[in-house]
Amino acid sequence: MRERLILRGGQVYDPANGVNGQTHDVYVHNGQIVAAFDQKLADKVIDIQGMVVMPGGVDMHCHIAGPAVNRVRRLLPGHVAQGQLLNSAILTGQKYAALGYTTAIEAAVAATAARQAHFEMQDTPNLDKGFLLLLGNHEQVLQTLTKNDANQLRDLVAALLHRTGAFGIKIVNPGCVANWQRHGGNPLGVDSIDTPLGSGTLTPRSILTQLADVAQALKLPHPIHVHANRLGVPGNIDITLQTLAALQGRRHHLTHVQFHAYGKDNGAITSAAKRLMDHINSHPETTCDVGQVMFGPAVTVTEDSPLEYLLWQLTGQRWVNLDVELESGCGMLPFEFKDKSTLHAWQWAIGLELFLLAIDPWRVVLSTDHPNGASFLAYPKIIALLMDANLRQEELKRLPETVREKTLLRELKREYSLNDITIITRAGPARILGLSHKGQLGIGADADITVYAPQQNREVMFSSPRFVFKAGQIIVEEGHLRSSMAGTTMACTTPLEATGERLLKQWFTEKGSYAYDQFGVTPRHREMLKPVTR
Amino acid sequence: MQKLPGFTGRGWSHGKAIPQKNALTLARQLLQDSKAPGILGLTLVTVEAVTAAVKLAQQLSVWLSPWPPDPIRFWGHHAPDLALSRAELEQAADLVLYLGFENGVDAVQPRHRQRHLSRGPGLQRRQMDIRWSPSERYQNTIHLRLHLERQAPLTTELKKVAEAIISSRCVQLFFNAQLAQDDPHYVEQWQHLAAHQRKHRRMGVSLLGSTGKARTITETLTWLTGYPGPLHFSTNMIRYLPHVGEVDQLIQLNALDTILWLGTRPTHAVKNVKQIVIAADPPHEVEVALEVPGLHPSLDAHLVRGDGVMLRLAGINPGQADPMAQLLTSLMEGQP
Repeated sequence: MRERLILRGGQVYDPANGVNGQTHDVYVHNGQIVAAFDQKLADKVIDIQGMVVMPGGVDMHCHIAGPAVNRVRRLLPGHVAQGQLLNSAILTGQKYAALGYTTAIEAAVAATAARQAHFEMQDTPNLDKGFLLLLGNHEQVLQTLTKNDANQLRDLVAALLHRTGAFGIKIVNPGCVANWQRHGGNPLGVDSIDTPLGSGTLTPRSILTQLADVAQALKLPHPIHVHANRLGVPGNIDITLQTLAALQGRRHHLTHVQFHAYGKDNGAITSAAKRLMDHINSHPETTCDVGQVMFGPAVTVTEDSPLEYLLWQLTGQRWVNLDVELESGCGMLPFEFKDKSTLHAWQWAIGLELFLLAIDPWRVVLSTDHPNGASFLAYPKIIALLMDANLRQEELKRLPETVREKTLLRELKREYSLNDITIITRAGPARILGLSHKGQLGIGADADITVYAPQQNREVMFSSPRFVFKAGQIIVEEGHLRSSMAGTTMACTTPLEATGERLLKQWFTEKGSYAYDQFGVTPRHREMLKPVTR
Repeated sequence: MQKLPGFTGRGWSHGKAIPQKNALTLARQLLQDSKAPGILGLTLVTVEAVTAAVKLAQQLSVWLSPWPPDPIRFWGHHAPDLALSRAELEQAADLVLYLGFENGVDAVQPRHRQRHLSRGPGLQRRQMDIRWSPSERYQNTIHLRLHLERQAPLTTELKKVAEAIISSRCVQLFFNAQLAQDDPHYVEQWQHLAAHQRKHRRMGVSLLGSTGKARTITETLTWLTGYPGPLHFSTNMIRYLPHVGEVDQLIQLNALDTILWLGTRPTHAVKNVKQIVIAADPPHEVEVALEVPGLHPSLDAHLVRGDGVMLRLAGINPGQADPMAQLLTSLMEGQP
C-alpha cells in the first residue's frame, strides 16, 4: 500500500512509545508508520477525533492452522456451521480482523505437519502469522538430549526450525507425552520435574533447561514456550513452580498459566493464582499468557494426548487421539465450561485472579488458548471483565457458593485501563514474541492499527472496531470487511549447519514413513517467509 | 477393458482431438448452459487445483464434492469405534489380517511391521493375507459374516479365515488404503463384520499405505471451507452434507445436469448428464462428451465414446503452475 494516509485527531494508546491516550495524528506511508508529513501530500485523511487508536492486536497463543485444527473441524461440523469456535482458514482471518487483531501465532505444529500449516496460514487472510514447533516430545530431540552434546542438540534444533519454517520452540508436558505413548502408565505423568522418564536418565527438567539454552544460543526472537506438566490437575502449582524455578535465569514463556495454577484441598481444586503470580512478579525473565476460560462450548486441541485421554475418561465424548510419526501426540475433544460446575467456575475465577494480581502487565498476555478455553471471539468480554470490577461481581453471583466465598475476586477491585489493555493485547505479546515492528505505533512499525469508538460498554466497544488497518490499508470499517490482505508468515532465522541436516536426513531414512524431500516448508513457501531476528 | 454395471453403450472408442481453445470454449458453454452443474472428483489433485475448484464452485454457485469417497474421510465415520490402540496391538492382537495387498504388505509399507507390530512378551500371533478377486469379495465377506453370526455353511477356504477369527481374542485387520479408495463399500462390509464381532472379541480395522494424495482434498477443502465436502455454494452460507454418499443420491435423482469431473473418471454410469472430465494423470487432458455412458475404473484408462471429444493439452507447461488449476482458472473466464 503505497498511499499516504493521515489518521487525524485520535486518542492514541501506544505504551511501547510512552503514549497513553494523548491526542495526536498518525502518519502512514508504504504500509508503515512514518514521521509527520505535509497534509497536501496525503492521499487520504481520516478524521477520527475522539476515537481510541491502538496498534493491531497480537494473539500469541492460539490454534488456527495445521492438521490438528482441521481434524477438529471434521470432528465438529456443527461448530463450524455456528462459526463461533471453529471456522475455515479464511473466516478465521476475517473474524480476527473484525476484532482488530492483525497478528496471530499458531501455538503447536508437529514437524511433519509444517508443510500443511504453511499452506493453511497462506490461506488465512489479514493476519501476519507464524507457528511454534513441537519439540518437547520429539523422539530424535529427546534421544539427542540424552547425549549431553549441546552443539549437536543446537544443530539439530536449528535444522528442524529451518526446515519447517517455524517461528519458535514449543514444549508441551515435557517428555511425558512421548513417555505415555511409549510405556503407557499413569496419564497424569510425573509429579516432579526430576522424575526420570521411562527407564532412562531424561527428566522434564533436562528437556526444559537444555531447550531453553538452545533457544538462547540460536538467538531466537521468542524464548521457549512452555505448556508445563500436569495441566488441569488439582495441586499442579507445585510442579509449575518447580518448572519456573528450573528455568530461573533463562528467558521463558509459560503458556495458559490459568490451567497450571491449581491448589488442592482434600482432593478438590483451589486457587493458587497468588502463589504463581508472586513468583512471576518477582522474576523478570518469566512471561506468561493466561488461557482464560469462558463459560460455554470449547474444544480441547493439544499435543498433550495423555491429558486428552483423561478428559475422554471424564466426559465420554467422541474424541480423537493420535501420535504423529515419532514427533508428538495429538488429541481433540469437545468440551463445555459450565458456570454451575465448581471446577469450571474456579478455572474462570483463577484466570481473572492472575490478570488482576499481575504487577507488570507487560509480562501477562490475554489469551484463551483458542479454542481450548474459549474462542478468541470472547476477548471483548474478557476485556470488559478486566476493566469493570462491578461487572466481575455481577458475574460472580452466577457461580457456585464455594467459589464465590473463596475466590480472591471478591477483594480484587483493580480495573484495567485502556493503556493496560493495549499492553496485554498488543505491546506485551509483540515484545515477548520479539516482534519489534508489531504492537506499537512508532516510526518504522507496521501500520497495523485499530480504531475504536469509545463506549461505556467495553464489550461492545472491543467487539466492533470503527476501523482496522492492515499495513496501512482499511480492511474493516464499522464491522464490515472492506478488503482482505494476504498477510505474511513469519519465521525465525536459524543457520542450517551441515551436521543438523545430516542428522535429520539420517533419522528420516531410518524412521520416517515418507521421504525427506517431502519434509518441511516447500521452496515456494520458503521464498515467502518473513525472517524475524532478535 | 471392462464395462461397469449400468453401462449401456454399445462400445468404446477414443475421442476426437480438437484444439485446446475449442475444447475450453465448449466446456465453458456446457457450464453456462447448465441449470444445475456440479464439480465432482478432486482425486489426485494438488492444493492449488482444489483451491481453484472452490473458487469456480463459488462463482458458479454449485455443488462441489470429493468423489469417489476419500478413504480417510470415509474412515472418519467409524475410526473412533474401530481403531485399536498401539498398546492393544502390541500386547493383545493375536491375529492380524491383511486385505488387498496383492504384492504383500511390504511392497506398500516396508517398515510396517516395525512401526505397527511389535509384540508383547509371550504373545503368539498369526497373520493371514486375504486376496480375493473383485468378483468374489462381496460374496465372501457376506458368507463369512453370516457364518460368524449364524453358523451358516462355508467353503473350506473361508472356513480357515472364520476359524482363525473365532479362535482369537484380539484381531487386527489392515486394509490396503488404495483398495479402500477404489471400493469403499467393501471396507464398510468389513467394518460391519468387525462391529458385530466386538460382542465376542476385540477387533480393529485400520487403513495402511495411503498415498497421501487423497488427504490433500480432505485437508484443503476443510481449511478452505470448514468442511471436507460435499458442499453447496448456492447461498452466502456454505451448505454441507455430512455423508459423502449423499452426492450419489444427487446423481441418481438427476439433481445435476452437468458434471465437471476433476482428476478422476466417473466410477459408474451417469445417464442424461453432460460431462466434462479434466484428468489428473499426465499428459493433462480435457475430455468433453455429450454423454459419457461409462468408463474404466482404472485411473490410467482413458476412454470416451465416439461422440465425445478429447484434447491433449500439450500447450500447458507443468513446470510453471499447476496445470489443472490453470485449466480451472480458464474455465472461470466468461462465467457469469
